[in-house]
Amino acid sequence: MLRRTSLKAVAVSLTCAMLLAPMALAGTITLKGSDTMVNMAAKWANAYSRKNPETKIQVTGGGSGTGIKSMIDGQANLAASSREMKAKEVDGAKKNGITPVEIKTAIDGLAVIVNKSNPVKKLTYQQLEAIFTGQVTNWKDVGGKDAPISLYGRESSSGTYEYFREEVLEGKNYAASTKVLQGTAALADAVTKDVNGIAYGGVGYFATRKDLDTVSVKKKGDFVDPIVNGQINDAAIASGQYPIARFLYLYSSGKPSGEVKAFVEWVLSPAGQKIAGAEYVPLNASTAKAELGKL
Amino acid sequence: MAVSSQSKGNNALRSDKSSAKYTQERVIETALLTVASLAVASIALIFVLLLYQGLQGLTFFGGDIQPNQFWSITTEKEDLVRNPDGSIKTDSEGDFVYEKKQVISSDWQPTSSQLPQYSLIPLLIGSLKVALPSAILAALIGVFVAIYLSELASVRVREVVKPILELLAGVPSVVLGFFALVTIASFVEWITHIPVIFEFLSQTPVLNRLFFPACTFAEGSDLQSVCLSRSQALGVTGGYLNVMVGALGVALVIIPVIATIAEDALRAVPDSIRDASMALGGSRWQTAFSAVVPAAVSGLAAAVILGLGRSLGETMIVLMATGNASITNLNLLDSGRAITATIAAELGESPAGGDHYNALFFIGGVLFIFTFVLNIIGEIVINRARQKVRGGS
Repeated sequence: MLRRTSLKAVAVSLTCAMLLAPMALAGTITLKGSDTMVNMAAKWANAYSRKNPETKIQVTGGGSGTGIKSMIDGQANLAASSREMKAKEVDGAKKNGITPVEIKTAIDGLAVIVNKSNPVKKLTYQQLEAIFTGQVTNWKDVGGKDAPISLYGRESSSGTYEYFREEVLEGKNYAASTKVLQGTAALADAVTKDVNGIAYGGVGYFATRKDLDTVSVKKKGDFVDPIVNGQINDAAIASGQYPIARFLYLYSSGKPSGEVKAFVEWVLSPAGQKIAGAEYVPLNASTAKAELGKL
Repeated sequence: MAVSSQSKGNNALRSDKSSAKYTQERVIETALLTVASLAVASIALIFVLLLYQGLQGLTFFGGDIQPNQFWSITTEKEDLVRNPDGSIKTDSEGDFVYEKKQVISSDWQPTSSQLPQYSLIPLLIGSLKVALPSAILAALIGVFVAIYLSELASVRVREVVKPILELLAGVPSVVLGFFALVTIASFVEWITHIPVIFEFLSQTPVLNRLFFPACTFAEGSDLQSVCLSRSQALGVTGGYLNVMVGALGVALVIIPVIATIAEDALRAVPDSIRDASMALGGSRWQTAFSAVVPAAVSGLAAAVILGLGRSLGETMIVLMATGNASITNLNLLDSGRAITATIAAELGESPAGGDHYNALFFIGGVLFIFTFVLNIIGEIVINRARQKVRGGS
């Protein structure tokens, strides 16, 4: 019963989309996908249309998966994604005769945050894994005071949740005692109030917060702090010295051409990267150049 | 049966068959019947949908979830190895040493990259940990408010208080959730850390397992070390966002629910009972508590049960204020993950038709049955109360 209803819904939306598709082709770029990137993409679209009034850019969120699906189905010119395309999705695209082109547009660093009063300001990947999987439950085990660790995290639907688990926890489950809050802002608030709290989230959000501290993290080599003197440590994050960072991508259905190409080139230009840098970490010059080379 | 006897009674009062009004009345009656049956049908359909989608995930019906997975599973887990002195054992390269263990696990980890776990245990505990305290609290306040409004308050006071109480029921729960998150959380934190109260809560047996606060006293202070050692001895910890915060928030929603139903129950008590009590020389207080309340006790019970049903179903406040950690202890000053909050947080992003999706429908069905049974009990108790009062008069 449910299946039939959803089929109907799909059919209706497909018909709508087909009716609207010709409009989308004339001077309009549709960009769809990641909710993490939707603000940045909207700012890009605004700034770009101001410079090139003849191009209209339509930005919608919905999540990385949704964006990629729309791109494969030909409903969107560009998909915004906070993760790499899965092999399954690439296969699906090839079946539709589309070879997606991946363009890195910015870097999202994830910071681990603790209360200002917490003496622990440095943690290794091993310690982070042990803390967030619930193996270490007292701060004294990682060089802090004798107090229980209070874990905060995101919902399982969040891309950040998934990325942090794969990157730092080696795919292990988060501890059951992790308190799950809605959004990075709630996490930051909780950690400012809970002296024993620890949480993770996009580094851009914490740069302006003076009431909590980011932890220096070490995977191999040295401890690196993602925020230095209230400024995002762009150089360390862009170079990969700071380990918990992921690329934010645009996927184009085939080699971009015409207006789409011009837009992507602009995104990778200093003007576009400046907007990316307001929220995330811009690409360093060599990466940006390499990405331009793919077009 | 009740319907047929009523319609028979109505037949006698219906306009003459030949008159134009007759058709008009029939049409209106049929329309009303349709609307009423639509409501019944939608409840039935919701139930069928929940069951249909929820059971699809089970292996009986072609899914991948074994029924016992909703309880607990045996799984492999890596535990840190500790040295005798309690420090973490490291190997020659300074890496932590883990050992694999077989454990019986009842976790809610639906998106695990190792083995998804769908245990209902933490969710049921979470839901009850919020619903029971909030219902108890709201029952105490709500019933007394109802007694006051119905028996003791002057007309003028009642005319002011009652609408305000009903207004409270109309406050959007997201607003109350935010209020709980910001204000009630700080309040609970403050009150549980007053030394006298902390001593009482952490020393009294049973209470210390139900209300052990977070150890957030000043670092290095005596109270902090006392708190830490007691916390360790009991094996419980508290937290900033906890079930109590959520329960207080939910209580604000259900106080008006309970108060309104309870007031109706008290008003349904015939005046003959009041008059009898007064005639025997009872004061207003004696009349209220010794005559009216006992006569209405099943109605009051029904109010509380319906309030409990409402608090089990409350979502937004619970989602925002309880911390949503899927833990299984009974400490009310620790976090808890309720069924409603789990569905609200996860359904939007779980792939339709997948195991996780079906499991969410399944827990939705469990919740539905829970509240359905509670509501039926409430209705039965109310009906009994009505009959009793009628029989007594």
